[in-house]
Amino acid sequence: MKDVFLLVYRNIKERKARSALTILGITVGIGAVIALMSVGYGMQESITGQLTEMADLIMIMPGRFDFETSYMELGSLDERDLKDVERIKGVKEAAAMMSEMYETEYKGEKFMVEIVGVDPSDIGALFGEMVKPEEGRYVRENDHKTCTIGYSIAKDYFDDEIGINDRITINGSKFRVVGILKKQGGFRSEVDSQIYVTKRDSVTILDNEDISDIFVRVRDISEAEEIADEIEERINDNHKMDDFTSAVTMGSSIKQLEFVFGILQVVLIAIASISLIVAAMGIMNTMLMSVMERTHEIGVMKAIGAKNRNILFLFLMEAGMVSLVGGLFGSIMGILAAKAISFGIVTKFGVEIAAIVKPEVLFGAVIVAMLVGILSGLYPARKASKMSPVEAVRYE
Amino acid sequence: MIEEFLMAIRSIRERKARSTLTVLGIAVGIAAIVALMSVGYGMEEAITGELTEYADVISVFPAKITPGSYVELGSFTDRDVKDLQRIAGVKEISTMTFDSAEVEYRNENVPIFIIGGETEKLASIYVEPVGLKEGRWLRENDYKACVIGDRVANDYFDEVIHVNDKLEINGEKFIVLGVFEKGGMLYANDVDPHIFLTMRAAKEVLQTDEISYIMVRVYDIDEVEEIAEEIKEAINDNHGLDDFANAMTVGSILEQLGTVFNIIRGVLVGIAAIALIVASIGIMNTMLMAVMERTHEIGVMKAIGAKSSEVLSLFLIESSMVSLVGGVVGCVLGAVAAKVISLGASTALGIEFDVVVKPGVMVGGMAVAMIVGVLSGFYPAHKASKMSPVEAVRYE
Repeated sequence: MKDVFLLVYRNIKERKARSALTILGITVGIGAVIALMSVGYGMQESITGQLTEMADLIMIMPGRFDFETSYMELGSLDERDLKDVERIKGVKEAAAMMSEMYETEYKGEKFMVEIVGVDPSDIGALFGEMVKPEEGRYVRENDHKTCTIGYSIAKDYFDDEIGINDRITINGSKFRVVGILKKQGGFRSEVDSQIYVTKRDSVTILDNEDISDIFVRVRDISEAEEIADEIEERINDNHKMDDFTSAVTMGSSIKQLEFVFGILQVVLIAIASISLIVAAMGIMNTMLMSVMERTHEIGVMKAIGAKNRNILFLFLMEAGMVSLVGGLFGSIMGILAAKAISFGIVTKFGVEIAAIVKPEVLFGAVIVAMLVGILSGLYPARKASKMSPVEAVRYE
Repeated sequence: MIEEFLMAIRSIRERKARSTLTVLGIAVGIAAIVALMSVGYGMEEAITGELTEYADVISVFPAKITPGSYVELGSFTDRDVKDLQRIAGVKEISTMTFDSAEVEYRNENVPIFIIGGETEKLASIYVEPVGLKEGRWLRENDYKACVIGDRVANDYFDEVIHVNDKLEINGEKFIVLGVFEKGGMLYANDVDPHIFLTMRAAKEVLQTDEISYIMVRVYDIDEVEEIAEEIKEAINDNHGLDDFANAMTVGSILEQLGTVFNIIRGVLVGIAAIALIVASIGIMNTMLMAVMERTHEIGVMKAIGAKSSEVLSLFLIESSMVSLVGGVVGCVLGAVAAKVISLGASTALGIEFDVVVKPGVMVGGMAVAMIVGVLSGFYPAHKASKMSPVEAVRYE
């Protein structure tokens, strides 16, 4: 066994340039696969991570998701729905949101902005731990005509930035800004362009008591799906319609996203694996040549008693070694490439994506490299092992 | 020159297995790129082709539209429509009203989106591209009649709805005149989940005079962007707001789609190009071996007066011939693979598109193959041309 290793090592070393190029081929292939997988996992993590913080959340909307992509609003919820939802077992807290687009004016500029009315005591249920004011505070129950505004409203919408205690006009009535929320971005970017007022104030400006969404936090995340079903049933009963509401758990959204990412990853990796196929051809080529060059040597080995399987094993080992080294280098290159790509994405698009290098991916890649090597070495090795010793010795 | 070609062909033929593997390597790389480009162009064509028919259309929404969300800001008035009619270059104007309504069928109550409009206009927007599965389209003097989308007929109610069945929309009885075919990729969200009525019936059943959508056709496609701007201004002025109306032209949608498709194609082709790098490493390897094997021959050629540049071009011709053959085979393989992918997509996923194999892509693929061949053959060829004739002749 040790002899075999030494022989293999000697052969690889003897043809340095050739072995180096063959190894480089498989290195590039494996590197590409690892880099793509790591960047893919990184993207997935950065998106689902944000959602996982909200895993105990159920969003109730009076509408229907079609193909899970487009949302159609079919009406609105009411106080009775909220009461019924609060009464469902396992519901920790429920917060009602009233929202509608309204004209908002600041220093002579007017925009349509989503005004959200929420009971100040429900803000915890609505935002959880994630959304905090950057300056100032949330609206309070005994405030009159105050608002807490999203980051983009304060900084981007109007020519002049809005600060604490500035006054903005919503649908004709003046409101004092008491807080500006931290920039959210990503999946909560809608918060950035909303204005929050107390439920009481919203009833006066919005001029109705319709509830547009209900946010529910459950005690036990594992029950979220059942609770969501129960909520849908209750509210559909209240409105005497089928399919009127959608109660969406964060858990199911995460699952869907993971599914989409899974498909995306498979497609990308399949494309990247094409380079592995090409690399396999390179290995086969190198091995064929090395068999041909060493025909004489094989003849001698057979003449002094080497069996067919000894020769087969020798060449398989050589192919396996080359590709194993390629796999190892490929892993290193893949990690570096993944880091470079995520760095590039951060600097170019400003999206924070940390590449996630999973040990099992590296391990799998090295195994795949080995397999590719052995498979593509099989034909040349068999060719070598089947040589007739008499003819092989004669070959010069 | 002819002699050099003949020599190159001879030495390629001499080592059949090796040349075949090298050619195959580059063929796979080029095939991957050609296939991905063709599938990408095919998908783009499938989506944009249908849109280009509507290049003279401006869609005006009272809403903020971002990818994946549609936030309604209000509705248009008759005054808006009158103002638009006065804009120069406007050929015709068609309005639509839509909202959700309660629909009852055999004691099941489901909220469904109702779309009302001028029957001829609706026919040209929806019926022509999608087609009816049963029955007939609405006529202007139909009154309590409707045509329903595929999902309304088959999914929303326990029992399938057919022509001449009766539905209750907001309490009023309607007869089903026709059922749409399934909408496919482009129309799935626009047709499948909706019920279509005449404008008169829709206004009555939804109890509104508000206009939720205006479609404008212009005389001259070149003016479409300017007219869209004018429309936006006129309506924003009417409503005293800065960004109330959203006037979208097919041109601007096509532009956005084009950018998205370019990015997708770029990423996919970039990944596939890694295979080409691996293939070029293979070419370099093969050429290095060819040079080494023919050291003696090179020495003889130089001894009888061959110049370094002649030796260089001999090996460059050999490597570029190998890669050119690889490129040609790759283009054919790529076109076939693209067809297979589109067939697979239509049978497995129901996505219909015709592969677009652009001659430019083919020529480009072959050119890239040639360039890769010349570049990766350069180092071995250079090595061969710089050999000292004395030492080379001695080499055995």
